[in-house]
Amino acid sequence: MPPTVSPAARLLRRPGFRCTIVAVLALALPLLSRAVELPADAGKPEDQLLEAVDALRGGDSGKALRELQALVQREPNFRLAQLLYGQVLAERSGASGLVSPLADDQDPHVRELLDEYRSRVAEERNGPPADSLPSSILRLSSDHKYAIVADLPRSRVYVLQNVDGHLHQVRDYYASIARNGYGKQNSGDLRTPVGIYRVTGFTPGVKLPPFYGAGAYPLNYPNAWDRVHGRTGSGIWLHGVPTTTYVRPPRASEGCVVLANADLTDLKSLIVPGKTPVVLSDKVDWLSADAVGKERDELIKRIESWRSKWSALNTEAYLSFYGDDFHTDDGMNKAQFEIYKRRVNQGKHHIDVQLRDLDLFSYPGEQNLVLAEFTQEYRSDNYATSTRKEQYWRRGADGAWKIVREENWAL
Amino acid sequence: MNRNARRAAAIMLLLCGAALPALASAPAVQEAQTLLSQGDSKGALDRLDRYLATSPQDAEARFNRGLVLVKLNRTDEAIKVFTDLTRDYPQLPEPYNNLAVLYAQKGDYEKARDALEAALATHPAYATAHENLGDIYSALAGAAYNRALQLDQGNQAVRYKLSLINQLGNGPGGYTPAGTTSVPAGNPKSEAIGAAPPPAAAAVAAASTPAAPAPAADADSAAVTGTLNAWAKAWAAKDVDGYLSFYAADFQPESGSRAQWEAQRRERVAKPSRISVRVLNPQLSRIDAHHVRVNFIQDYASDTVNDKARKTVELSNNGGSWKIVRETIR
Repeated sequence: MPPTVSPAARLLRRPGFRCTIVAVLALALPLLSRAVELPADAGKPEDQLLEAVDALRGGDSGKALRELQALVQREPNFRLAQLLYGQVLAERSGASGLVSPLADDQDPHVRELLDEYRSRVAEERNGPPADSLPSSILRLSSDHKYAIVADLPRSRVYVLQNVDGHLHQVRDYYASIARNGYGKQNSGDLRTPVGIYRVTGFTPGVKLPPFYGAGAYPLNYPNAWDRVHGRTGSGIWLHGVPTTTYVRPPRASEGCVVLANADLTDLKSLIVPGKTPVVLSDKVDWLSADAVGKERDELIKRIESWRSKWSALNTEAYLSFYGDDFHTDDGMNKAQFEIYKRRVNQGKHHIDVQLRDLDLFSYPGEQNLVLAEFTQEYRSDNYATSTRKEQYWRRGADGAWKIVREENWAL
Repeated sequence: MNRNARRAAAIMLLLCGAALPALASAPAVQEAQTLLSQGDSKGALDRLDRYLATSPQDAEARFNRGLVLVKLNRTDEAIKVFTDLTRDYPQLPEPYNNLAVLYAQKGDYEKARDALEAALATHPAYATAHENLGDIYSALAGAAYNRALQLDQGNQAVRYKLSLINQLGNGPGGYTPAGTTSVPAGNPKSEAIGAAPPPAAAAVAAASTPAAPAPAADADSAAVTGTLNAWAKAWAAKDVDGYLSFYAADFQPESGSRAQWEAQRRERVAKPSRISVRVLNPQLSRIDAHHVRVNFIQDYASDTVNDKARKTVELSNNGGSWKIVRETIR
């Protein structure tokens, strides 16, 4: 053991320690205790976390410590930040007896934090390229100011803004999904659905158990396509987290998509309950804006053709747009539907069908399936109605797009 | 135990200051130190108070008064004394240091850190402050780990111990003295951290690929693991004689004599009202034909302390039974 020097020994060895020194020095400003200074623009907590990770990679543990210190002060319940903060402190302390939780890789909570770490770091590295758009949104009508796209396997939620028909990614959140992943089939399977939904409402946090945090946006799961497949379950929401935590692990819910409360609150000004589309994807391809144009134009033409044949009371041409496996939402098959439409159309002298506010989505989890949603103004000599229509188009082996499912809902 | 140990450590550190030869000190300060060394803290305080009534700015007298107040358990007053000293003499690192120790004693590690960093700002090579800052970082790290793993059930239990701080109280000389790990001024250990890959990734790699120790023969391996489990069980049952029987006659404690160690273990093993001890993830490696080394995580919980520590023990095979000959907390 090397010789030791106690603090006061050194204190006394220093000449001039006694009171005589100090008339002058007493005037010196006391050293301010060095409280954490928040960087001028601390950014989102995740950005700050990634700054710290970058600093560590670059060998600047001092910067990493400052970032993490500020971060855990801001968000004390950001457990991943606490874990990294603990790591940096432990390394700085030189304490050999301090066992990092990371040593216990059997601890499920440690594993969850590491999953979150990997997910966030992977997003930073492999997130969407600038100016790219998710291929699932082929067209978004100006009726929607925003659309939400979730990349479920990657624990991310993106918000796209619609400016005069041009989309821009404006938000990007970490999100937690269901324990068993995605591709919900049955009630209780602890999976998050894959499909295209809309936000049906909003319930503020104060009206919910604390578990849901800042509030909840219910989705219309199961939708028409889910019902075609006999999928069951309900209560799929976008919601927040209890105040005891900043986020939940990547796979934690029973089916919902769970965001940090700040992010859920941030959505408040973007979401229009009853309208805003939410694409829950098993895989998001990010393409340049013009790469989705061809399929979109093809479908727009096809839908217009369907409309004009119907409007012209050309019943057989109109019916040729429907696939052999077509079903109506009230249970008619293709043959029954044909009989019904022929009968209805025979009784009309003229009809007029106009479409507006067309949205087109390439359906996630499916090959060659497109959901077209539009508002349909139907007028005939004896009847007029305005409805919102969901129409599922599938491209057959012959390359032709045909309608396989239709559903109307009242406006 | 944990808290008491920390307190004892803190006071020990401070008393170092009081027991000094009083070179060039005011006679009153020397007298007070004498009184203090005779155990008359009250008398020492009176002497200093009288002196300070006439010389209120004497920094050394005030510093000693702070130490006496600590001795008298008047922590808040001591904090005020040292705080005032840091204000009046910001160039002196020692009041910051002692202030930090007192804050740490109260569990306010953030303030403790700030005080030590202030001490280091004026005296970057101040080894004691570096040492203590290491302890504080360690405590903050433990607190951060706890928050990281704080579960929805609101589990506030300390799962990761503040090891260095615990060790401070482990007996005479337990405090790692200043200077032993003195680090370059201003940028302690940055190279070590800087060279490291991203911490989580590195730790994962380390956790999933433990350095493969030379495998011990299976029969020995089972016997050794069984011995360690029985050792943990005896400890958890507070069966002191049973516990001690796992140690070889020539067991060498890390510090102090075997007799001192045994006396301390008798007291500490028997003391808590409820404990559990588990040996997690034991990794055996052979030293020679009759000796093995086992690295494991010791998961200890009592009514007051929960901690996990990395432990290494060496066992010697003596006529068919394995006995512990060395024991180290890593």
